[in-house]
Amino acid sequence: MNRFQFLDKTSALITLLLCGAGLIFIRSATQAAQTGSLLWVKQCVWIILGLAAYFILSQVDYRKLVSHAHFFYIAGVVALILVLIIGDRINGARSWFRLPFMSAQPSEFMKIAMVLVVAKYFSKFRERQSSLKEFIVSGMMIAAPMVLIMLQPDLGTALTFLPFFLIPNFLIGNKESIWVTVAGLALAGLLVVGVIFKPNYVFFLKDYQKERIVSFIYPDRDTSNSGWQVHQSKIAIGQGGLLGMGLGAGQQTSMGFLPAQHNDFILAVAAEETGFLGVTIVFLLFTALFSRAFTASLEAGDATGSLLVNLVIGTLLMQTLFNAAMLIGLAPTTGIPLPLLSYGGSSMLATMGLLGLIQSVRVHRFLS
Amino acid sequence: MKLSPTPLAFRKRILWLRALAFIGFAVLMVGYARIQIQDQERYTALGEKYRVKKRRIKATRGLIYDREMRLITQNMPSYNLTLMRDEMEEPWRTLKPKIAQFLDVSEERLDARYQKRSHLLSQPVPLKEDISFQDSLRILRGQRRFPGLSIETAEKRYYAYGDLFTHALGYVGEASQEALQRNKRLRPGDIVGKTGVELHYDHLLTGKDGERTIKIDRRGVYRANLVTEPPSPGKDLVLTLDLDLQELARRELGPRNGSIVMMDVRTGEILAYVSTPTYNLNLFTGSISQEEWQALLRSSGNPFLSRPIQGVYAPGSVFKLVTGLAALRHGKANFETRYFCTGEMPYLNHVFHCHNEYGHGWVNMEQAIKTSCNVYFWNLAHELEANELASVASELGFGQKTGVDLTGEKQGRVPTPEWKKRRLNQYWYPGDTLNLSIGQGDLLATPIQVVTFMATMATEGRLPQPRLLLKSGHKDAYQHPKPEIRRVEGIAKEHFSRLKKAMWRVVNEADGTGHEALVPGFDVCGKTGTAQLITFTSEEQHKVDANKNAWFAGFAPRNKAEVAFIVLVEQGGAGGSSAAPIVKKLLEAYQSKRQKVDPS
Repeated sequence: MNRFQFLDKTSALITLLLCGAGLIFIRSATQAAQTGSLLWVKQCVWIILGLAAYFILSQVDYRKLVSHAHFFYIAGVVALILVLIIGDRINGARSWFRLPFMSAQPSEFMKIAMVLVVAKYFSKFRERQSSLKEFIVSGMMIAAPMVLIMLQPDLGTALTFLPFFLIPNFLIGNKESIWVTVAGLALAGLLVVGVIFKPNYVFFLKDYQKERIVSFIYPDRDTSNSGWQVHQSKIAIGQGGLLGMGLGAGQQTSMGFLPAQHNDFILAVAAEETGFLGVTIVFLLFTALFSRAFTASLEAGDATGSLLVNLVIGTLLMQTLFNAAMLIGLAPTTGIPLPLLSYGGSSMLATMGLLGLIQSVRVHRFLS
Repeated sequence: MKLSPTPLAFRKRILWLRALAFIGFAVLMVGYARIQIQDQERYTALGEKYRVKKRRIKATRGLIYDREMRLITQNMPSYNLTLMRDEMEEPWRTLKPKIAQFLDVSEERLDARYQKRSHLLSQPVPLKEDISFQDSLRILRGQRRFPGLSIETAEKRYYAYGDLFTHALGYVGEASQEALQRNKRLRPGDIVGKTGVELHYDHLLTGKDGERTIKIDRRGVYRANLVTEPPSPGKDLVLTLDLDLQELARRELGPRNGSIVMMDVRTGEILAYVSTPTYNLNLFTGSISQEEWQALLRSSGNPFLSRPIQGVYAPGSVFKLVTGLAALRHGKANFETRYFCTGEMPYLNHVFHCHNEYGHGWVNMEQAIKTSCNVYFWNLAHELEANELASVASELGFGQKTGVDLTGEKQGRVPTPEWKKRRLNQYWYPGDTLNLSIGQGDLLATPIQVVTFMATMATEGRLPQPRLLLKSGHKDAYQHPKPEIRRVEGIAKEHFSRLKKAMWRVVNEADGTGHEALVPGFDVCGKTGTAQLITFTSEEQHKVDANKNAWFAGFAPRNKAEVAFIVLVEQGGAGGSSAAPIVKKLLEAYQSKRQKVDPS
């Protein structure tokens, strides 16, 4: 039976619009660099492959996927272990498998496995609340890949796994688990304070990670590295003004002041060249996309589906907000790409896959 | 088909989550609005600051000439190896070992320099300073293999006569931390004078740096490059030194330690300024190696001491002129006053020995100076108060800086009873005055003080301030410093002229102590000095030259004097035999030079 008719066409359109916007900004960001000038063509390929994944996953019954979730999970963990051993080191992190046609980042695809396995674990809580036991078990399930990713070390991607723990415990958890979450967040705050005042006590963080935290709290203290990046990104955003400097005319962008501008800093490019208007449009598109997703979760056929959608929302929302906040210094600089807009094959495929899962929940919401 | 009736029990919490998401986006919108709309101007200005760079154009350091406009200090091009990061085609980690191998330097050193790089791609990273011309050519040829490597030309100081003008010129080096703090216009790595004229006239030699405004375009590559403020080069200095006299003086002193200063008595212009041992100034223009530096520091005789202004010595018999002047001034003697020298003088419970053990017989002041009779001046000292002698010495410039245009001049010392009580907590004994009268004891003088005193003798009471700067500025527009000349108070012209006659006899009469300095037709006047370095306890020690510094100070000609001179040979024995022949050669050279310029 052809279920394409049940597809949420609005969110599909929004997804396409965001991908297209990303394409334009990547082209603009890389036109000056001789080596990177063809990145937007490559991004086209990723978008097409991503759309394929999007539509295929939308037609697969998510319940079938969820029932095999533990295989995906184990495969993902194995891949994360392997990448630590035989992975390629790029920018200091061992996060990549070098394949003949692309460099694959297993931590991105692990997100899909995580969404499925967490949804599966919590699927029995349709009517009642989960307890501290589920809190701890789910915590351990998520901790395994997070620790492996932190070992790469890729703090940014590890952070985007946090919603897989927070979302189900917030939606289903009892009071105790919520209190423990609050305590955990307090501990994280303590960690930040520790990094600033007694950096030697925080032995488990790398120096550059500590530096980033410090430069986030005190942006003026250090303009050498991460503080410098935010400084330059704020200049780009600020220069954009209301209407922007025009596509391809962004000065910070074209002069290469922005670090990794086609990846994590793509929104700064957008802000410089299309101004607050452009940023507003991008934010509205995202808001609409998430809004549609929330509707999908409220109308899901079962608890599993609803939870699944919320998990996808959680991780993508975290990425989007964190990335946008990072560019204006509201969040520490960590390597988190902006979903759909940033350049990157793995990120594009994983994001499209996750959005495809939402469509699957929506398509299969009716009782058969 | 129909919808599931109640998908979830936790519907309410989903709505909370949705609200949270909307709030998140709203907060971000406010954040972006503040930067993009409220602070747009501020960030635009900031961005402009990064794109428009002001680069300094280093001003050329002034050149230094001798008095006959012969170039003695110049600037040579030097080549620095830099890395243009915007032209690099491979990452540093793979480029580094190749460059290291190509240049034969360690990877660590290259990496240390690279780590200090700027954030801007357009800022060249200096990798190695002062590479040889051959190396620079080799690199330029290899540029195709190593895109990004580049040669930047700068300038370095070059001293054409290496070790000849060492102590007068001084050397340059990178500005120290203190200098950077003192002078805000200096940047780390700037070259400043460290000693000598290079230091004293650093403000003249240093020009005013210019400015270049650079617009940086795509990828940090220069687009517009405008000289917005041209640099004005430092002033050239023409020194009072004469290359020929300097060379001669240096050659005559040979391997012995000592100093020679020759000065125009009318203006204070220093014609020769030699201090030995010396070292090659060019050692300091490149980067001096630790070994070379250590070797210099360890070498005997302290080559870093600029002896004419920093060496403090007992002037010995040269000081007898001061004692004579003091006695005349205070009416304790006149030109006819005579004393009998038996070769020794018992004084209180001590016997003082004259250098002539058979004695000089009856001597008046002229004869006493000619033969350098100690007994005569001891008798004068017996008549004089210590302070009377000391105040005349001070009036004649002893114990105070001459004000020569060099940094680090020592002031020497004229001992007085007050000084001895204060510093040594000892009483002044009459024997101390006796010692002082013949230039021994606690008296310390620098050669430049003695030569200035000689100028005073020559001009009969005018004390010129010695100087090394003849003029400064640029071609056809030189500024001449005004000579500073002080008149000595309280000493009659006649006193000077009578002592000049005695000094003339020192050189021009066959039994004078300075007869070896005789230059026919030039009326050389002088006074020898042989200052003990230790208190002699035996007659044998008296014969060892190593225990005595040889002085010969004087001027020429006797009337209408032109030059004063001081030759000091450390551990050179008697002044008459070691120092006087050098003076003869110098004055002959001066004379022939003068005749060449002015045949009349």
